Amino acid sequence: MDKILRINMGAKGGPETKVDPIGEYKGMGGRGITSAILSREVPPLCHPLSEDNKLVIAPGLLSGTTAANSGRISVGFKGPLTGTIKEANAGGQASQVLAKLGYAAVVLEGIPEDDRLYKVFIDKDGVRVTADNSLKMLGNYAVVEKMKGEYGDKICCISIGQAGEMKMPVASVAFTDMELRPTRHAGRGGPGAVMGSKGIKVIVIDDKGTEMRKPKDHEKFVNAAKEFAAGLRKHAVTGQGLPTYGTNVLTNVINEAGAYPTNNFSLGQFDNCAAISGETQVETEKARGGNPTHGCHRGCIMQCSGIYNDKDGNYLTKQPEYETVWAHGGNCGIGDLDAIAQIDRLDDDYGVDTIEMGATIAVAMEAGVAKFGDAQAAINLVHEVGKGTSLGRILGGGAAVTGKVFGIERVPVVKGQSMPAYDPRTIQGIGVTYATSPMGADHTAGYAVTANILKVGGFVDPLKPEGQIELSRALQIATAFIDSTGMCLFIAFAILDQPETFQAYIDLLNAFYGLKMTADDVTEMGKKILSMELDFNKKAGFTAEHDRLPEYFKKEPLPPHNITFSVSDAELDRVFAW
Amino acid sequence: MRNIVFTVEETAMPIFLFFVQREFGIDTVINCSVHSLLCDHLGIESDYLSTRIQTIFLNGETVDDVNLTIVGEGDRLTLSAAMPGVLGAMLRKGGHYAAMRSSISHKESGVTVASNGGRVNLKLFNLIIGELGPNFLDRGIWVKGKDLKALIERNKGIIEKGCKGVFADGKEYECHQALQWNWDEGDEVLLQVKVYEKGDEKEKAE
Repeated sequence: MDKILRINMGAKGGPETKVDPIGEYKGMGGRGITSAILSREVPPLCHPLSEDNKLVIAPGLLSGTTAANSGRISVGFKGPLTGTIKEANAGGQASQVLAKLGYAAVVLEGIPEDDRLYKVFIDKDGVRVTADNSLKMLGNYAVVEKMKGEYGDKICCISIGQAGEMKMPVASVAFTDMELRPTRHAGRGGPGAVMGSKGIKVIVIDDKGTEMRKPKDHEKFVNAAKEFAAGLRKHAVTGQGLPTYGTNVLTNVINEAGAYPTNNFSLGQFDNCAAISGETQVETEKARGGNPTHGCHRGCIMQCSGIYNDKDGNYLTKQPEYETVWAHGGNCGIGDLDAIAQIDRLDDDYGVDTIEMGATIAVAMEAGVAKFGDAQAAINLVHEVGKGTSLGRILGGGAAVTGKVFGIERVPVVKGQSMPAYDPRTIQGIGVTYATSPMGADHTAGYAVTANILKVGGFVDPLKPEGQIELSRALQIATAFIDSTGMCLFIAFAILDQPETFQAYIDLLNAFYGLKMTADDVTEMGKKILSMELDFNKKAGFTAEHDRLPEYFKKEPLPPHNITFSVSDAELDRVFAW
Repeated sequence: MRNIVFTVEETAMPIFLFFVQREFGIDTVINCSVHSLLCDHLGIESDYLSTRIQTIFLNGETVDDVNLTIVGEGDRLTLSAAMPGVLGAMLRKGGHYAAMRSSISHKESGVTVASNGGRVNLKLFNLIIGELGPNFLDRGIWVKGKDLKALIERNKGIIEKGCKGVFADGKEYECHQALQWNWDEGDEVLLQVKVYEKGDEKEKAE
């Protein structure tokens, strides 16, 4: 991956493409390169929908190789939802395909001179940008069908739905999966709106004639890949739990912990959670001829995705993830898997962030726009967004905007972004991450690594509450690193428990690039990425006062444990004090 | 009916396993440690407890030490395999990230009570359902009569197809008769579900 494709949509006379050598960004991938490009090339005070913002799409350092689970893609931008630097992460095929074509990043720049909509085609012979207004206001599924008709079925697509065209802050960027369906999304923070502001509806990529990327040391790489894959397979989480139940395996457990935000974060448990649990979802899928064990990209061996069919056995949507089942389920008081699956399909088709959409609907329910538990009303509200009605435009602005318009105090956002499916009052450590992550409220900002890394900077007693700050810091550093490599974050448990699997992960990078990285280097790289992001946010006007949870989390005890968020502001300010 | 024994084809078993992810009651020894309850009295291998059951809750609080945590009358014990992601790591018993959920970690009161017989409520999640659920169903679990009725009604077709026989309060019934039973609010049923094996019919005939 030694080149960067730049598509300037605002060039005089029409869109211009340029392929540059990777240059100063050499050695960076995924979130590392997206944050580097944004911090060096995007003015932090720019308007997110202006010509000065950029949308950077980047495979990870190991994408396009034979390493298992290396197909995640990063999308970097200044967020319309948050105003911060953003990295949204997705599965699907695009990361592998772009990497095999040699692109370290595709950078969308500028704003078109006219209001035409464009499609981009990339293959080994070059890049073509063509106006195509026939794509206007199509959903993601219809766009992909059209592209299949034009380019065949060996392509992959990166697209936006109606929400992105309307530049809504909840808009996502969709990536096609192995079945060429637009089911994997870079959702958080509004990347779809930025892509819409650039006038690009779809990027079609065809890697015909390319090969898997070749490591510097083939033998070492193959051995490391074998060890790494074996580690993932043998671990109970990555080898059994996730392939059997998918991410929705978390519903029962988080609910039991009393950390399952219910009815707009007013309760910590949902009475009907067994009806929407991963266990129930799997039995439903199997009974209808669906598939609960499925990879979101080629080379995934954890296979935590799935296929959800309707009552008649016809494809409806991908297996809804835990976050979707929570956002459109428990958080809205809805205990109906079929309704949730229907909404998941709409989210994917209109192209909206499933977490933000669910949180927004819950705030709307609190405002009386609909009743908690009314599944049909929730479906109707998503349609309002997709159609761009007046109400839809409000909801499409996200939970914070919706709360403001309807006069609701209880809006669970940090830096404008909704909290995901874990209440920070019950699990205070996740609250530390929500508050301090440069991304806004983000649950994926902290993932686990082996104790070797965490002992850098001092050992933390796990049973002492004082350890939360250090742990959150270590998790955020580690996640930033993992996000730069193209690896799926769910490798975390295998790496945590099995030092040999963590070592195999480092060996993959060393063998591929001819490096001699150690655990310390992992920490440094993660810190470097976070430092760039924190610096961008500071220049964008964010201060320590933005690293806080909404006040009501400190005042309103959450049943069943009846606790409030009690980590002090002074402690929160220590997270990035390095 | 207070004690029901279903004998079913293996294909019908998953329906009844739905119950073990909700709360069910077990009559056993109480006021003992989690380890003692599960391994000494409920027949779970100690190795299985330490390696497979990675996330445990007692009344919604995370359990870190199975030898020090005492289970009393009416307590709810929830067993799960390791969970993915940062939340999974945080909730794991004795895990490195336990501090991040310290406000819901179970803390023993230090008061000792002698072990005796009583009722404990259990919940089994994810991989543990398939691995331990059938044994609990075979042994018998206390469930609410109304919940059993709702389950039967929801899965009428599968039960009609997969049920090989029903015993209730010591008497034998036809499977279709079970579909008509009702219970009042608050009624409890000791439900046993056994997997039908081909030899069962021969044994009956003899």
